[in-house]
Order: sequence, then C-alpha cells, then structure tokens
Amino acid sequence: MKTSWSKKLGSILAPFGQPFLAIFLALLVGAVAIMISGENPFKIYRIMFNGAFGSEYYLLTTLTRATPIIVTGLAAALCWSSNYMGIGGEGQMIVGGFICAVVSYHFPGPVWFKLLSGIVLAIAGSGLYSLFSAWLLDKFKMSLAISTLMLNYSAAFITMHFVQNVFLDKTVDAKLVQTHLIAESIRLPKIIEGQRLHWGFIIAVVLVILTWILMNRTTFGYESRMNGYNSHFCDYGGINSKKIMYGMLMLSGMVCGIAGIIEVLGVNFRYVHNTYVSASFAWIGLNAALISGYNPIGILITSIFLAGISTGGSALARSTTVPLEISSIIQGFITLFISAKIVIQFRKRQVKTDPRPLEPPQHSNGEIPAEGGLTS
Amino acid sequence: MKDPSGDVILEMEGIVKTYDTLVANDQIDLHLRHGEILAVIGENGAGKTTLMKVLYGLEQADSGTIRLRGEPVQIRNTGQAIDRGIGMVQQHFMLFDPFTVAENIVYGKEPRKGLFFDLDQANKLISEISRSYELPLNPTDKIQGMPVGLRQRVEILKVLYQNTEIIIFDEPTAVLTPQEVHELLKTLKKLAADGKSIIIVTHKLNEVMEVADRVMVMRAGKLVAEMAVSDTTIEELSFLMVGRHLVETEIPAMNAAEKVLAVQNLKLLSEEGALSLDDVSLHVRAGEIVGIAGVSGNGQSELAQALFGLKHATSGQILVNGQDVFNQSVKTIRNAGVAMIPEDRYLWGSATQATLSETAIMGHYANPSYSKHGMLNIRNINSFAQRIIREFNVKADSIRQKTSSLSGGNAQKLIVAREIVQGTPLLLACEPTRGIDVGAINFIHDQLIDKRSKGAAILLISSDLSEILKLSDRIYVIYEGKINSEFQRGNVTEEELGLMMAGGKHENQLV
Repeated sequence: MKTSWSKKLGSILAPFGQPFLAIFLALLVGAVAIMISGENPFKIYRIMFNGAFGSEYYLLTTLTRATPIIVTGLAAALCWSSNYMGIGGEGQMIVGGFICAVVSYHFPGPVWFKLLSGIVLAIAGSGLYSLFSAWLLDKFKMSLAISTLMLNYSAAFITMHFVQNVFLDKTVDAKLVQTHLIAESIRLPKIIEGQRLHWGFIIAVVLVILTWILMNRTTFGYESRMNGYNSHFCDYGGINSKKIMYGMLMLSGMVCGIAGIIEVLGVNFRYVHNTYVSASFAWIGLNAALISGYNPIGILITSIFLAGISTGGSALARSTTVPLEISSIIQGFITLFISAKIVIQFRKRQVKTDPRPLEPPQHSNGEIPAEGGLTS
Repeated sequence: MKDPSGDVILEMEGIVKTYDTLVANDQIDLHLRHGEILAVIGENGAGKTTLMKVLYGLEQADSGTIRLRGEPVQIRNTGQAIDRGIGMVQQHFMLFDPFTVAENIVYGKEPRKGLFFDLDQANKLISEISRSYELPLNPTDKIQGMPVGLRQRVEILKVLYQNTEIIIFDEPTAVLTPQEVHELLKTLKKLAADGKSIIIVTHKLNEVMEVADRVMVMRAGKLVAEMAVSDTTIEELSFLMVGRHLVETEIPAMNAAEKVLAVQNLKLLSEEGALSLDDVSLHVRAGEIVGIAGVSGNGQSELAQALFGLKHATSGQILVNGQDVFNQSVKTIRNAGVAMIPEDRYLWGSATQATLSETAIMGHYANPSYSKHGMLNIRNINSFAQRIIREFNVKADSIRQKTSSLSGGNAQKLIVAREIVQGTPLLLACEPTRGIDVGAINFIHDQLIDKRSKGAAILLISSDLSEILKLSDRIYVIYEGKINSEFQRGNVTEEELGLMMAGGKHENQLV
C-alpha cells in the first residue's frame, strides 16, 4: 500500500520536480557567482526577492514585465508542443508591435477605428509572418529553427528601416528610433491608478486560460499534442499534419503579435526599435514554456518568477556592488538545467519505450531507417 | 553431429531476468561447445532473445553466472562482449547506408596510419577475410541499394573482423528470401567447420533440423528441453515449443457474402524505383478472414499502407464497399469504414507519452459522442477508455497513465480494442500479435474471430504462418510484391505455403 501511495504522490509531483530542481541548481550556481564577487548569497537573494516581490510597487513592476513573457511563452508552448520548434517569437512580436503602433497612429478615421485596425492588422501581420516560416518548411524543407531565427533579424531591421525613414517621431530626441505616441484614449488602462501594471496582464491571464482550453479541450489541441508526441501516430489516425503545422505556427505568430500589441498599448505607447530585443521577452518566454513543460498555468507562474529575477537583478544594481548580470547568469543556468531535463527525457523515451522492444520499423528492404540509431 | 566431448567454450548457468512482473528467463542453463551450432528455439516471448541479450551485454541478468572457457565473466555492455570474442548478427542490420562495405565493417576498430584512417588497409583486410571465409563481397561497394542477403553478409563479416569465436544469430532468416536462407545456412556450417561456435535463435524448425547440432527449447521463460538434433523430430520440437498439440480453434462457418474490399491491379513503385507491389489483385468478403502470407519484406507493409492511405500507390483500383478509395487520405478511408491494427504498435499505433485515453480515441475522436464543434467531451472519452480497457483485459492502473507504462501485450490489446470496437466493416490486421505473450495472442485471435462472426471482413497480414493458418478462411501468398497463389482453408499445409512464399508453384492453388 505504502509503495502505491508514494508512487501516486511521486507521479503527481513528477512534472514539478524537474523545474524546481533546475531552478534550485541555478540559484546554487548563482550563489557561487555571488560569493566570487565577495558578497553573501543569502543577503543578495533577499535583496533580489524584495526587489522583485517585496512591495506593491515592485510586485506590480514584475507583473508588468512578466506580461509579454507570459504571452510569448504561450505562443512558444503552442508550436513546440505540436512538434514545430519555432524560435521566431521575437520577430513576430516586433511585427505585431510595429504594425499596431503605426496603424493606430496613422490610420484615418475615429480613434476606435484606428485602434481596431491596429489590433487586427497587427495580429494578421504577425500570423502571416510566422506562416511564412511554415511555408518555407513545407515547400523547401527549410529548418524551422533557422528560418524563424533569421526572420527575427529581418523583422528587427526591416521595421527599423521603416521607422527611421517613414514613421520617425522627430518631435523628441532624434537619436531614438521610435514612432509617434498613440492617442491617450486608446492606451490600455492601469489596473491600479498610479501604478505601471495595465490591463495587458489581465489579457495575458485570459490567454493562459484560452490556451489551456485549446490544448486540452479541443480536437485541434488533441491533434497537435499527439503530433508533438508522434507524427506517425497522427498520420495513421487520419490527422492532416499540414493543417497542424500551418494552423499552429500561424496561431503562435498571432499570439506573439498580441504580446507586441500589449507592449505598445500598455507600456511604450509607440514602437521603439530594439526594446523587445534588448529585453529578450520572447526568449525568456520560450524558457518559461520549456521549464513548465508547455503547461499554460505553469507558464504563468514561471514567467512571473523569471520576470522577478530580472527586476530583482535591477534592485541589486541599485543597492549593491553585485553586477546586474547575476540575473542573466541565473536565467542562463535555469535554461541549461532545463535543457538537460529535455535531453534526459528524450533518452529515457528511447530506452524505456518497451522493455521487450518490438523490432524497429522495417523498410521494404529490411534496413533500419536513418533515425534508428547505430551501435556496433 | 560434432564430438559431444568437445571443449565447452561457454556456460551460462541459472540465468534469471525479469521485467517488472514478467519472468523472461527463469533459471536458464546454456552450454556451447567449440565448433558446434546450437539452436535456441521457442515461440515469440519465450525469452530466447532476452537470453541472447544477456550474453551479448545488452541486458544484465538479475542472477546467474556466465563462464567463458571456464572463467567466470561479467558482460556489462556489448563492447565487453566483443572484447571477449562474442559477436552478434542482429535481426535488424545496423549499417551506415552511404558508406562502403569496408568502412562499415571496420567502424569502431579502424586500421590506422598514424592519426589517420587507413582506407587501403581496410579494403585489403576485408578482401582477405571475405576470401578466407568464402563470403564474396566487394569492399568498396556502397551499402545503399544492397539486397538484404548481402547486407547480412556485411554484418557477418563485421562480426568476423572483430575476431569473435562465439557468434549469435538472432532470427537470421526472418527477412531473407529462400535462396538467401540456403546460402546463409551453408555459411553457418562453414563457420562452424572453421572452429567458430554458433548460436542461432529461431523459430523455424526445418532450419534447425538442417543446420544445428544441438537444440534448446524455451517456453514462457523456461528451458523445457535440450537435445541433439539427431535425436528429435520436427513434430517433437513443435510440441515442446508450444507445450501442447496445436488444437484447431473452432471457427464457425460463414456464408460467402458480398465483397467488402476489392483490389485490382495495384502497383506501387518505391522511391528507389523498385516495384514493391506488382499487379496485386485481391478481395475480402464480409464474414471472411483473408490471410496474406509471405516472408517479411515482400510487399506486405506497402500493401497495408497503400490500402490505408499511408502510402501513395502508382496505379490500380481499391474499392471499399463499392467506394473508390484509391490514394485517398487516411481520414477518407477511415470514414469509408476501414480500421487498421498497424504492424508496429509504437511507430504507428500509439504515442508512448500519450495517456491511455488519448491513445484510445485516435482515429475516431471526431465521433460526435467524443467531440462536438471541435470541443472534446472528456467525460465520454474517459468512460469509453475505461470500457475498452475492461472489455479487452488491458492491465492498467489508470486511464491517465502513459501508454509507455503498458507492457507490449497490453499496449497491443489497447490498440486492437480501439480498432475493433469501432465496428467497421473492414479491418486490416497487420502483424496483430507480433512479439507479445501467448495469452495476449490467444485473446487477440479470439477477438478477430468474433469480429468475423459479426460479419466484418478482415485482411490479416502476418509473417507468422501458424497465425495465418489458424485464422484465415482464404490465404494469398505474396512474393516479391506479387500475389503468387491463393488457397482455401484446409487445402494447404505449412510446408506447402513455405514453398510458395519462396516463389514456388503448387497444384492445389486456386489461381
């Protein structure tokens, strides 16, 4: 009885164990780094914690920072969990933010029309931008990782060109590559008057719920998840894998576009070149998705935690000699330990599939397919 | 038979190996003499492959000892096995296709010139070995495009290059054509005459009679008999292997009904340009199980995949209840009333990370009781999964556990259940009982017969001849992508079928 209980408990806790272990190990490595720079890690971590969650102001700042991380994290979870490992969140977010800022300033007509067109065109644009990678994969078998990564740069520089040469706001410091401020009436309202946190966070939470429903309660989510597990199984089940590829990549791009829109309407009120890139929202979002095993609720929690590491790191820089980079070190090691988890799972899957393995898939001529592995 | 007092080179004693609750090897003893050929026979799941994996270091025994030339040894991995002179020719070849014969053989133990790989030396060495063992091969040929028999020869040379003295052959004839089988058996005898000690794992009794000196019979993890081949007969061995005289399962007679599946002149060119299916015409009527017998690799997989829309055929016609489904999508074909038990339960039949409910609804989750307007009905899905797990005796703790946690037989039962309960008029059953235990095999056979009694048409594709003979009302034999003969139940023996599978001709055949 006892073993079955501990087994049950273990199976419930198992999905959480790995992320916590990774975070713990990363904090340990961070502690070593702090000690090397001559400080007490407990003290430093307390300062970081207080700087991230210690007061209403800091907490709301962290949540504001977490918002685009949550949204891009959801986008990453959508495509990664269906076996399409795109890393183009940053580019898609840029496209969304840029289009939203430009359209809702320059479009003619009443304010509500500007806003609506800005949102619709931004979502459409970022969706199409992601769809382009899907098309490259489908037609030319171009690696999704490469095409999406390259399109991140394209997005950053193409938008920079347009901001600098067409939509530049010359009324302020001309060194800043940024568009005009959008009208105050279409900005996202604050949740608490006088604080930074805006309604974008509520939108992010709603997206968490919608994503959870999509992944767990719809046939499309089922098909996509199964495709992530085993695409042959889906072919055999009659699932059109192209539909999933185009659908999920487009959806994921659209969600990233929403992240851009939220940043424009809630934080910057314009598109500023390089802000999303230097804050690495989409990359931290991808981290959050990986850490939480593509679980939307996990992404919500992890994103807040990761945002907290960043805001806590800024607090450090203000009050101690420990460099700001300590937060990057911790984040980097979390990623490292989490990817170790992915590798371990992958290896386990290869070994543990069946203790009495069925013969590997057989080709007509009896040879083993390329991915069958080689031993001598 | 060799001198029975010959030196014992290998002793395995009291080998025990368990997987969870299954005892795969229960106190197995094995003795191998110098220069002899020992056959290890048994049904699927009898534990013979496990025993060989223990010997070759792929698995660790729970208890028991291994002695080589009297010295106790520990074999923890294949590297240690090879170092001690034990080699294995795997059932499935592990070769790098784009590389040459010589490069494949010397891989892992390359001749060097300074820091560099010495290809000329490798080619020379391989030529010598190939000549001395009379296994002709051109060391500079690429593996790509080689027939299976030659690939196996490369594997054998690889084992010989490693200077092994004990060579294990795991089901070496499973994928070979009869001519290649003949060549291989000659090679085995020659190797034994040259002083190599050979273990051949098989369930083909005529090969045992032809080539082996001694035979060990395993059944359900136990060693049930060990004897000189000259002292036994095929009949005795088959009785020992199965543990009973095979009883004919009562299969109720059915009246011939309308054709559910009709295939005309189906052709399929493989990507390499070979004719995988050559003018295949066949039909299956309602209430009929039709078996496709053949040595694996003669087009069975392609036939099943073409019928199910997983592979595009080149030309021909496929009708399911009169509806043309030639080169249609899997979805269309499933909707036309076709279900399929795929030949590989982990490649096609399931996703190891998916839960049992998720595995259970694949292919029919669009059914209105499981989903409406794109939303899943989790409650109905779960109760459906509970039901089929109960009805098909799938041993599982919860429908939320992962499919990978099921044993092979239980995973197969889940897949069979999923495909049978849909009640489709046509079922393609591909290798429905491969690699599972005898209990599960009988259960699945009963389910197939039951489905037939309900008036369904079943196309049974199996490389297990006894399964084909037991279940089929009619049998087609496929050879090199062609249907070369057709028999009615009871009109043909296993030996005759074997002959047809080897490309022969027969007087009783219908076509």
